[in-house]
Amino acid sequence: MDVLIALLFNGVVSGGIIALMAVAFAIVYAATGYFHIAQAGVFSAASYGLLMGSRMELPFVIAVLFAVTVGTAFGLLIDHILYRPLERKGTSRLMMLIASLATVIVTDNVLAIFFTQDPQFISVAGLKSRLFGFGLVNVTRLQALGLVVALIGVALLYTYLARTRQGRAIRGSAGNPDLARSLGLPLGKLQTRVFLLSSALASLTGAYYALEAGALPYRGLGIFLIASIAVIAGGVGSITGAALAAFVIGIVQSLALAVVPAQWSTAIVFTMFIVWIVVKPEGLARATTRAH
Amino acid sequence: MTAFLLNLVVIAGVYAIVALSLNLLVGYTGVFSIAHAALFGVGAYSTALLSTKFGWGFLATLVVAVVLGGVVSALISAPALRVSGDYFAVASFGMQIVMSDIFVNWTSVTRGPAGVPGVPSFSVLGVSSQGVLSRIAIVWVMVGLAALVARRMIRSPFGRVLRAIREDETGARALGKKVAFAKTWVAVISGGMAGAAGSLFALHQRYVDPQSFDIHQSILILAMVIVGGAASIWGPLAGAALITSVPELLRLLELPSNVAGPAQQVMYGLALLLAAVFLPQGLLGEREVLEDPGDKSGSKGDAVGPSQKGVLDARPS
Repeated sequence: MDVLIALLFNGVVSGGIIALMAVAFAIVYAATGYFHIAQAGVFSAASYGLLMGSRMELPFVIAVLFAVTVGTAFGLLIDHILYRPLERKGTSRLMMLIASLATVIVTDNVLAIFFTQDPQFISVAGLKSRLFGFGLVNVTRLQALGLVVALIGVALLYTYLARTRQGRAIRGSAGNPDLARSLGLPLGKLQTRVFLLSSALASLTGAYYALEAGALPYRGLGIFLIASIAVIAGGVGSITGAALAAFVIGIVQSLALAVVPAQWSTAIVFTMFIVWIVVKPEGLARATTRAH
Repeated sequence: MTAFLLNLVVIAGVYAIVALSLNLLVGYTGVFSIAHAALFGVGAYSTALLSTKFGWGFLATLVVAVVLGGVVSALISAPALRVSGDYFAVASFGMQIVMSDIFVNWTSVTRGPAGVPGVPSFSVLGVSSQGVLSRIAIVWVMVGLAALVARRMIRSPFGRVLRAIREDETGARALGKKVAFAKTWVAVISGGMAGAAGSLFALHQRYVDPQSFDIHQSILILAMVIVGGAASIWGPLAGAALITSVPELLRLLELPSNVAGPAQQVMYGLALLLAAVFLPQGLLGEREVLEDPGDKSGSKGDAVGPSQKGVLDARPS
């Protein structure tokens, strides 16, 4: 029983982290329609940003801020020098997806050349020590911090989109770009904001994994796959749906460890996804403007 | 040196078949798939296992490879009957990772990272695969066959349905075209061709291991199609020849071994990126293809795409 509780808790934590990555993707996908695989590159850039920060012996909080800045700058760069020019040229979505994928490959392998293909561990005093625990459940400070940051991140994004003028403008432009344009909404500015938020959240995910298991090239792609599964399973366009699906995936992945070896956990998530899509193609949360 | 070059000719032929098969999806149907190395691997592993464990011959293993490649490809595409568009990208991505996991972790069958050695040589119609020249002949005859199949298919009414899907999926559906059926069927044919190429690969290398079929290989195959020119028969052939020679060019630079691998990947990634940005029709592709005809508002025929994307349900309730 204790084992199950421990696994459940780990699942909640990793679900929260996946949720951050998922909502980061959901907002870009809904607002622009770009299948932003290069978000995995933003993840990697932030992971190694944190590694650099810690090698420069920056204080922990400053190092994290540095990592988020590096990742966010990279995300904005991708939007401005890749996606927008391609969009202006009238490039097909398929080619934009391929360009986005190629960006991840180049980013991760350049990082692998400079930092090797082995994980580069980051040690922060006390971060992995036990914060509290009962029975077999041991909660490290890092896990608690990760979960809290993830919940705050998702809640802030949700509130921003729901309550602020800018957030509502982003939702409006996502719903009907032509109408938004004719109403004079600054679409370019809104898109910059979308990439800013998305990249910052993806960077936090990258920083978390770097602390938990070391900075590693190629990890971002796998995390992005899980996150994109959460977005589609949750219902495209739904922030809450994506976050909920991410928690479900994290918990199932973790509980599955009680039954099957760890190396099969991706296969389990993927199989669940296929079944889920066949059963309920519209996703977890029904998209509210589906009636159009 | 000659032996080495001849070897490269065989490998380029094998990849030409895989690239031709991926082109059916990416180039002609406009469907993104990143699972082709997995399908290629299914063919290679089935051939390696059947020939080493049960002593099966060339044609029997080839047939099994084609069938398995087609079946796995159908598994990826089956749910695409319900959801279209970017779903296929995610599903193929997931399938690639799952198949890689199976190649690495199902050690009782695949022998894990060590791979399956000792694939025997074979003979077709009295031609033995012992010599590299006869392998070149066998593989390139197969390339010719694959190109013919692709050409026949593309010029048939079925091929026109595929192009219609690529240009405007919703429109194709509105005209009464069986879009889901066509997509599944092209995925099966494409998977079967990739399986056949895998079978040839195993018979040529005499050895298979998981690394030959991981996601990086899928990206390599995608690069062959895009750089060479999607939606053409010659494009993937040129792309395969060009991209298979990249590692050999890099070898001239004499990079340390821990840098050589990532450096190769950077080259493939850059080739893919530059082709996508500056040469979307590739070196030999159709001119008009893969460009969005005027419709700036979003992707075409995409059930989860921008036509219904405008949701972001975050609203105070």
